[in-house]
Amino acid sequence: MSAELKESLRRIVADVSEVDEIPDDTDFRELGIDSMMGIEIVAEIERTYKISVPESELKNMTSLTRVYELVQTHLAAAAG
Amino acid sequence: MLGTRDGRPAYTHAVRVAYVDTDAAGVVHHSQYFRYLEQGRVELMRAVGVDYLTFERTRGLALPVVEARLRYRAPARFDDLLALETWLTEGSRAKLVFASVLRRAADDAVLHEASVTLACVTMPAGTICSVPTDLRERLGA
Repeated sequence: MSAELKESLRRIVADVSEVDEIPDDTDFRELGIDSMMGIEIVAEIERTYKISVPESELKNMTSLTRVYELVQTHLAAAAG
Repeated sequence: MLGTRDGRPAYTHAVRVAYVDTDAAGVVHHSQYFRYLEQGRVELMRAVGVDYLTFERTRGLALPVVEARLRYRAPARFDDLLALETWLTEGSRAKLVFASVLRRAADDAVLHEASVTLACVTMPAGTICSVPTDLRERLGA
């Protein structure tokens, strides 16, 4: 499940950013993913997983691993 | 004048070309159209109940232009009365995309078509943030 989630998130990031290779720990800025694109990625994640990411957490979504950790936390909270 | 485009609010703003808008060739300088586009967006927002000045001052946010495309089709000249129609084509947490068509009132000729994308930032830091939901909703997103 965790591996599937990470790969799903990798696809979302790649699709929105149009960057083919999204390594786990490379900073998004190094991949050319700017802050505005970052919000688009978050919006797509929210739609896909029916979660809500607070404004205060946007700045923490700086790499695929960070995104994965945050989404995992939100999904766990939603599951109760 | 407030109408609709594709089910979304669309505002038609009247612009009278000033002498100062024109260049040595006697036509409106290309840079002036971006002023008209900004006026059109501000008036659209006003028409749907968002005074942009109040928006900036009370929320501490601004909507900078991050992309602009303009296709010039025919020139405008001093004293022409123009009709600039502006509406939202895409609204998300990340951005607002406005389309505009500028017509000459006398013959309805299309003078330009434009698309302008705005992001939302906090002021004065300029940090990117989400476009407020209520703003998107008022614009028909």
